[in-house]
Amino acid sequence: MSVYFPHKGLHKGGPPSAQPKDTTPDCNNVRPFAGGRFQGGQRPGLKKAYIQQIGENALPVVELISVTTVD
Amino acid sequence: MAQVIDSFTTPTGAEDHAAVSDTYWDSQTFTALASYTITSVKLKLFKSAMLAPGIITVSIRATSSGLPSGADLASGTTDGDTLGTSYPGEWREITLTGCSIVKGTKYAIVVRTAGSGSYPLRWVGDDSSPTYTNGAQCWSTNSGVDWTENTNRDLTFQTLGGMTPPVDKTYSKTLVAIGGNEVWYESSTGTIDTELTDANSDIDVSKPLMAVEALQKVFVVNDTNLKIIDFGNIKISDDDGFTNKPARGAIVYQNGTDAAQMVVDYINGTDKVMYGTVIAGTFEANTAITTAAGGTGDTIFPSPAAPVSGPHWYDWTVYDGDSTTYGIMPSQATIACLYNGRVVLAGNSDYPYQWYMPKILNPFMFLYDDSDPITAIRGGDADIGEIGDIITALVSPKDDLLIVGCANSIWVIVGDPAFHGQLGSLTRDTGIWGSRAWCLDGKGGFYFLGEDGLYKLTIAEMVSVPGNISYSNLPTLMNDLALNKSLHRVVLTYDADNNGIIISKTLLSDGTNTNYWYDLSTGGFFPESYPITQAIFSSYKYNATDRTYAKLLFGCNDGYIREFDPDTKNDDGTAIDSYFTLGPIALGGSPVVEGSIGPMDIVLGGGASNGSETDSDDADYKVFVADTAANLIEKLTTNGTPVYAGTMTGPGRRRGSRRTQSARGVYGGVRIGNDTKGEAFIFESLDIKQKPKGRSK
Repeated sequence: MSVYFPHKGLHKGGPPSAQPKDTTPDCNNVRPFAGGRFQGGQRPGLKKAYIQQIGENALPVVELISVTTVD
Repeated sequence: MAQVIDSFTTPTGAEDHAAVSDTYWDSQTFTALASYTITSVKLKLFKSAMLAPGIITVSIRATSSGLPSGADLASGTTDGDTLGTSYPGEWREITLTGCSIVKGTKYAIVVRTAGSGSYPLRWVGDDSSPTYTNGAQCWSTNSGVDWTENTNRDLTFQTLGGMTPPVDKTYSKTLVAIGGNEVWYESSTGTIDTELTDANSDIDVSKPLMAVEALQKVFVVNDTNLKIIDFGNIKISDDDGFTNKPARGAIVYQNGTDAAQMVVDYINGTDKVMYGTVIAGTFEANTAITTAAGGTGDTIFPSPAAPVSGPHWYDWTVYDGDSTTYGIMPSQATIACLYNGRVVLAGNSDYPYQWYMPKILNPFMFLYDDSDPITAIRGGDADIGEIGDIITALVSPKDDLLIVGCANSIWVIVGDPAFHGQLGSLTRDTGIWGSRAWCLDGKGGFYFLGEDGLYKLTIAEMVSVPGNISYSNLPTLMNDLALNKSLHRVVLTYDADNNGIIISKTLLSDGTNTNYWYDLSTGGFFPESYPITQAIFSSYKYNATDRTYAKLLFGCNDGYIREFDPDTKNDDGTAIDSYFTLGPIALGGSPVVEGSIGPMDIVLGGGASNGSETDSDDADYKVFVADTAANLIEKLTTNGTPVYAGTMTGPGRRRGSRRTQSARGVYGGVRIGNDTKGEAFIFESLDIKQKPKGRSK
């Protein structure tokens, strides 16, 4: 039998013996779209969008917003 | 294609021309009708019958006091010896090296010859009643050192060039980040390295904080700290204070070196500061600002300081701090959104069911006026009524629709509350978990975390009743999340590029996190975990002016702003432990029949190495068997000792990769994953043999 990535994700809604098709009883850090296709795999990694740290004390960035101004 | 822009082509008097030689230069000035790049000029010329002009040089120069000035801005040549010898001459086009011409600026076309003698070149003109009013002939008898203007003569000319259409860009965007009681903003595109120092410790991020953009400002609500970051206005102060206070929207004047005008936007209660938009000139220090042009009218500021450009940080109060005329703002707020040109406030713990709206496009006016259709208003001011439940979220998904999420219910305001708007209950079965526990998908979908899981409602002509979309797959989602409003922050983020929603739960004290990717394409939920330092506290889709920086951004626990990147195989240097499980598979086809699992083959993503398809790294696999499905799930989930395991080498499928091992049981399952730093696996398929072996004992 051929089995593909459980693209319908985590499912804990039914009896263990009746795991719905295309679902998984357990997963972490995977997404159904990977490598430019719906085939499943590791999620994208996080990277710094800006090299600067907000503040000097390594405290959480609690708000992000932009402001639009006329030129 | 070049076109004629400035010209004088129709001399109307009797035969007239100006004489040109190597030392006797002639010029025609013109005031540009448009901004353009000049590429050539046409002049009506003929040569002397006796003298050869040789190479004619034509150039463009700036002017000073109406006379040619400075070096050539652009120049070109033509062979004057090929011209005819009789009036009215011929139009000769001279290609120039090109320069920018600015609309309204006076320039000079300067002509001289290589040939010497008594005027080998003649430039046709008009000295009777020339009709060109934007310039005049000028001449020089010493090769362009000194010039004299002749306002009674114009010389024929045409300038040709290409006009560049105006750019569409009329605005810029600046990213603002708040963390650690500090406010930072982009100093230049892609660099967020400038602190708004006035804001330092003027907010308290240990209390709820939310920011809303409107009117070239950021409105910050942070409990009793109600603040404005003003990027659009200039600030003018005067320690002597106002002699007369301007009204909001009034134009004030300064008759200084460069007479200036400003539209007043805001004055605070100190009586010494005003903010506004400059619409003409340049303000300067120590010149009185008045209510009329030319230094007339009433004095506003007698001796102002030099203007200061933004961004500015100041308290958000009513105009002039005058509660009698401009009403009373709530003393505290933690929730805000922009709705119909109003910065709507809620989250006042003294009146937690109350919403407040300033006047449309006037965030400094909170006085209710029932005769004004755009008046400031709050629940209870008019027929629209009050809610009576504690407000937890404000969402304005489109014009004339405001969703008011509460602790136990959800309400909608349709239309403007001050002008025939209506307030109605959407549901009393669930509320919205928190001020950030919602997102919009841009296609009419509104998602929020509610009483029993993730809900969706559709916003079209009418707003649908929200439906729980997580219950069938994850009926215990809310119990699994174990949310506590005192301990956790929940952020929902719509990811348009990947068509999904990230549901983030973060423990405020240390960044421990639980997250789900809800895939809108498949309807599936996928748990995710991030390093504690990279836990999500905020998110924002930044549509930067420069598309390079237009990204979905996440404010993280360690003070950095991050993004998800499909080409990044770790979390900012930390390995990602990724896996999924397949099963339980009834190996014998029945809960009481044993079977075997294996041999098997795993095909990973990618074709040949470095081909057009994205290559997978290796993937580890573990095969488990059990007598019951529940026991198999336990084994898959706890990642215990498998019956056999190995590593499949990526990308694609390698020759000899088939695993010949097998195991026996009632149920079988496979766990596939990768936890190596700098690696990511892509799964294409698993081919596995299963064969009944007989009834289970």
